[in-house]
Amino acid sequence: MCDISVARRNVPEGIRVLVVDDEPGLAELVGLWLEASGCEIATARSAIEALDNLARGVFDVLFTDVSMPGGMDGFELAAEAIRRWPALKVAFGSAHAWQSPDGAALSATILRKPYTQAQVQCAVVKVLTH
Amino acid sequence: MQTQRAQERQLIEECRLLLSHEMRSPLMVIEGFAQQLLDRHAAQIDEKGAHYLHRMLGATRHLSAQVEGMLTMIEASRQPMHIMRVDVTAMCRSLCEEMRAADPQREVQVEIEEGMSCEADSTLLRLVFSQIIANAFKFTARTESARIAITTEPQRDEAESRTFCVSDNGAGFDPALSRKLFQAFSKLHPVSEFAGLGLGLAIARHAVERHDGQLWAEGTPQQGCCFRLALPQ
Repeated sequence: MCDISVARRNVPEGIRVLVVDDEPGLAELVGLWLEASGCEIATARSAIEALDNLARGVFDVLFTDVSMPGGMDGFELAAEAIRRWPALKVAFGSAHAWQSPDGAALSATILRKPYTQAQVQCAVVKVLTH
Repeated sequence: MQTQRAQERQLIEECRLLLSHEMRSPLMVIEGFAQQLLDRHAAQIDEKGAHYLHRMLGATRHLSAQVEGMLTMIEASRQPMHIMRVDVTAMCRSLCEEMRAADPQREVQVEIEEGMSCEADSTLLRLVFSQIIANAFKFTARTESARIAITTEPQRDEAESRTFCVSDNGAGFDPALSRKLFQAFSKLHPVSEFAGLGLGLAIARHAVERHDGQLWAEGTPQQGCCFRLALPQ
């Protein structure tokens, strides 16, 4: 468990997070939650758009939905992103309560919807410290 | 018959996907942005506007809870079962500790019989007891010296069904309405007195039926009630 005030204190200032969700409202909301912890945010609506963003900027954390249309889901996006940028940390949001196929290798945190601001902030702290 | 069952399963799966994939995210967005307005733009919103936003938030949270409740009920109806020996005493202790922790101000006297166990799917059985015990905690909230007891009924032989009783001295209910207790969205008490979705006991019934068991209740208004759960062994 992770308390919201603890999470806020523990997210290092200026961490750059790319939030990916095909529901743009949810990506924006997660971005606002993380901005409140001092993170710098960019959003993308698909895996392809996310890879394009990652190629053009420097990011510390990728927070992506698992189920996304367009032929590449969140797990595949994470695998490809880590192959190209090995230092990138990844956390997932999902409608399912499941484990990623190689969760340990991805050092991933999977949040089940509906997740909260505190859970998102804690997930970012967790992936940054593991 | 086979085709009809397959069609029913397909319909349930489509409902599950609708609830989990298509409804959760929009509900998070509505609730999240309404909260953002209250938290970050309060200075630009007058009293009436804030009241409307609180109404929206309350309704959205209620709808989200209904969605989660329906998903729990669907999961209880479809998830694979793994029958094993379950330590019911330990399970009930842990559930009561969780409920005490959720409301530490309340004083509830809880008695749990030692050595209770049975053959069941532990995930589903935990779901059943969590709903029934939560019910007991909720409906004793307005009772002075609230008491809850979790016991078994005597068993004539090992092959007989194991029957557990969860009794309390809470609000009870009109026995004439006992059939309605286990119907989804049925509430025997006004929401202003006891908040709830009317899904918990329907979820418990689904999980018990997966075991070919029975769940029933006896109650008296203002004197409490007793839920009995019989599981074949």
